[in-house]
Amino acid sequence: MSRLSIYNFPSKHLAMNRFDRQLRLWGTHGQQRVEAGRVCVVGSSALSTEILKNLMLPGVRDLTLIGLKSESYIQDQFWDFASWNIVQMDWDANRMKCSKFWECYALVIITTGNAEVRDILRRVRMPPTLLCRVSKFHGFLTFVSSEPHFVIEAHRQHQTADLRLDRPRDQLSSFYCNLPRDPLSFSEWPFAAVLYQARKLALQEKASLKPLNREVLRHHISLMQDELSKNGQSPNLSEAYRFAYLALQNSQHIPENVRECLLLKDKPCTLPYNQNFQNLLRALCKYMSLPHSDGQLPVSGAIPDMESSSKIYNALRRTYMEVAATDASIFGSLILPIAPQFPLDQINLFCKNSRHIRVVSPVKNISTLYDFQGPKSNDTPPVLVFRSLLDMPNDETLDKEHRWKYYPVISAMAGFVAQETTKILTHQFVPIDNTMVYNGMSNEVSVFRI
Amino acid sequence: MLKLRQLQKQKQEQLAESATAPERQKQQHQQQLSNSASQLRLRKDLASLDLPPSVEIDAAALQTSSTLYIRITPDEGYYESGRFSFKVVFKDTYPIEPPKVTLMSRIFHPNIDVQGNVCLNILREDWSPVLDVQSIVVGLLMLFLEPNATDPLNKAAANILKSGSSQFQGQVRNAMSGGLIDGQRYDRVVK
Amino acid sequence: MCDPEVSILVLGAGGLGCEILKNLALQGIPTIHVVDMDTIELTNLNRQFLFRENDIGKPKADVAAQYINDRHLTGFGGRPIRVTPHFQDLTLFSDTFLEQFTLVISGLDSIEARRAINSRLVRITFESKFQKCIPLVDGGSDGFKGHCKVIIPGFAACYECSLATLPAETESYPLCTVANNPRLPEHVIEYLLSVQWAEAHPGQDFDYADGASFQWLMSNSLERAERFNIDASKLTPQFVLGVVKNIVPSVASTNAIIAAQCCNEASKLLYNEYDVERSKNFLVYNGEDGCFAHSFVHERLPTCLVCQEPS
Repeated sequence: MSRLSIYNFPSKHLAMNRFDRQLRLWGTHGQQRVEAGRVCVVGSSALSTEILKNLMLPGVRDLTLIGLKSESYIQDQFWDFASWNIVQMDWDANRMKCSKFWECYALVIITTGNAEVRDILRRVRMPPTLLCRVSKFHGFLTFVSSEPHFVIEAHRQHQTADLRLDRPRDQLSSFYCNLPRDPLSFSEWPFAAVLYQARKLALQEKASLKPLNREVLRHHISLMQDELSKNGQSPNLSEAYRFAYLALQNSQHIPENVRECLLLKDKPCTLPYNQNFQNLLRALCKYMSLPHSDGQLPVSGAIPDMESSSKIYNALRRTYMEVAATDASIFGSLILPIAPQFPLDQINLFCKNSRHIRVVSPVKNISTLYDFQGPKSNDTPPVLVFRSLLDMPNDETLDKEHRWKYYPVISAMAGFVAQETTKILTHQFVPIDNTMVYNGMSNEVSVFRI
Repeated sequence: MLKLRQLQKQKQEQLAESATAPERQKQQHQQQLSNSASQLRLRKDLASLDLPPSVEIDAAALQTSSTLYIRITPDEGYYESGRFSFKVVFKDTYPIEPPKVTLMSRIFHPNIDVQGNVCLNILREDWSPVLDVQSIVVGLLMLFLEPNATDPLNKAAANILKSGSSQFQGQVRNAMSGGLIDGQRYDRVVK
Repeated sequence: MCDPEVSILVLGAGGLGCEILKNLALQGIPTIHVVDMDTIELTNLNRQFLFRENDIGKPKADVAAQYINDRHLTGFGGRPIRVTPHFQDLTLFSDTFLEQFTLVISGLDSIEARRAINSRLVRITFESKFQKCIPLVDGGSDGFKGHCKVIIPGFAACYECSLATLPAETESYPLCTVANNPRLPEHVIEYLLSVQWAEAHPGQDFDYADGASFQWLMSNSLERAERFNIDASKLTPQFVLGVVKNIVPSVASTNAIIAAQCCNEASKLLYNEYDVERSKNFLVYNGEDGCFAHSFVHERLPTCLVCQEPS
């Protein structure tokens, strides 16, 4: 097999990016956030080194390592630490007891259980922080922040299609009503159109109070099929049967995840991202009170592929995109009085994802974490692990054999920490809410809230 | 690795006890030796085939080029007594990925184009590792018995089928004896 | 204590491979072999930390081995840690070669290669009448998701036992859709590759690495998209290459998690903390929403074509 020669492609577009494989995950706007995020790691250990490596690789440019004199174990011998451009400094209680010192960081990662560090960090106002410890087969990771963490792009894997068949905007209903109705064209109707029609017929027909359900819809789909098409079941109809539930959605329903966010729209926040997000939430409330919205969230504009002709599907797709664009522009006119010069791409991104916005509630502050008491009597095993690691005062020093044996656990924890860090920096995907415990003996990962 | 080694010991002792290893076991082993996982699976598929009289399988090229030929001579329907040969090419990814199936002759059919590409759901989007050569044979037979006009590959053929079965029957007969339709020459597949 | 005679074969020196090799070296494993038939590319460097920009074009296995050997680390029994590279196709290894290893860890990206090594190792166990048994620890990653499977040939589920649960590696669409009613850029590309390429270039396989072929695909894709009124803004070379090569997103953190999980399983095996009959041998991970891992015992498939015991 001949080997890849991207570099020889005549096309100048193929100047491939070193970050290509992660841009496919969080896009260029996510990458910008990764590269702009200043991250500080406290405590030098194999865990810190692995974390720094996992952050340097995706492009976090501004990394600081605060080392403690008492700790010595760095696998210097293995790493080209010098080439990572890391700012290194020694722990200095006098300097680091002021909040000013910390506020330049987007995220602080604490890997040490050192008593003095603990003592000082309890008393300072810290930026969002990840606290992690590891011992033998176990490790934990907690997300600490005085403010909630909001996410616009949660990248939910199985999103239900946003079709609004129960209360379509005028443009959509006129599209659906004006499709050609001859048998030949009917076989090209996208399933959304079939469902719209079936729903309409079902509602016309029944004076009874029985609620609309899948069976009723499917019955009407088959009536339509008998009337319009004699050529057996075409693929668009099979899809309509399969996705009948999409015609039963209540478009005025506001999902729980959105309501959780809305509850926090006026909570005092200082992080710029949060202030922006709260402005979006305020605009959303206004939007929802407009007659235009009909009590529905902005239409996302994205529709799934549907069996259909290229022509009809493209027209349908365009209609949904136009409706979404209208919603976004109305939404934009509401946010500008609140926040002038609000970036347009953020408005569009928010409107597109408005049904999927999320909030995570980190542990309020480090004291809350260290003072974690909880009901000790009915602790689950992960909580017991968490307690023992939390109370482990000094970083343990293992003999060589044990360091060898348990090295993968350190490496795994560093992976978890880096993954949460990139999620927190990009505000994409959903970070842990808010504590996780890894058990490398039983291969279990447990997440619970403190 | 002590724990594993102990288990191996136990297993070896068990094997020694039931030591009269029959020849069959050896044969089976020999067969496994020379085959990749996908070929093992193919062999199993072929061994369990249950073919109707209208279907023949030629597996002569299976070892050398992972290719199977399926010959179908429909005994009813529009395509009755035409002889159609499909080339079925398997990759090492079988049965995770389906084989590639092409018809070797030019046919007038709504779901097969003149290059021999076959539009059959189980050969692409609805393929699953639990399907096998038998499922492919059944799918191909169905194409001849029930050509489907609703989602065609050859639109001209589909339109004629929609307009009426006798007209469609006429054109299929014409094509199968090497005739010309809309300027396209078809292959003669009847004696 | 761990036996200093231990030797481990690592399959793949990519995102997972670099992590696995690093872990094994820091786990004190003296004898490590690595096989990979790829050369280093720029897009590897967001995660494959044993390589530098001036290594682009060199064999991954060689450069990875060199990096670790240059550290002059010492492992079990005071032995120097040595990585031996193999720049080749792993299916070409002989059984005698494979039999020298205590265990095999794979960080591969193809199902085919995994099936090949799986059936080889199972065969070695059966043929040696259980005198030999080389566990295979298999890792895989895709974006924020991944898996780790421990395969003890002849004793627990093998890779083939779980085959029916694997998703197809590439998405495919109905031929009639891609031929007559394409609606997505993916439909356009699929038609060009599965029908039009063969018509235009009979007897020649499509090779994305060939500049002229890729150009052909790009320009025809744009033309076809335009003909069917499909939004062509998505049809960038990156996107087209992604579809053709079936590129999955890849980040350092997931690779670190999955590789560590694999090496941790190896560690448990080596230190006799792995319960062959009861341990949860399969683990799936998903970091997209919080941090989710599910580990479970995957039973052997009694009718498995590979690990069914000759009776």
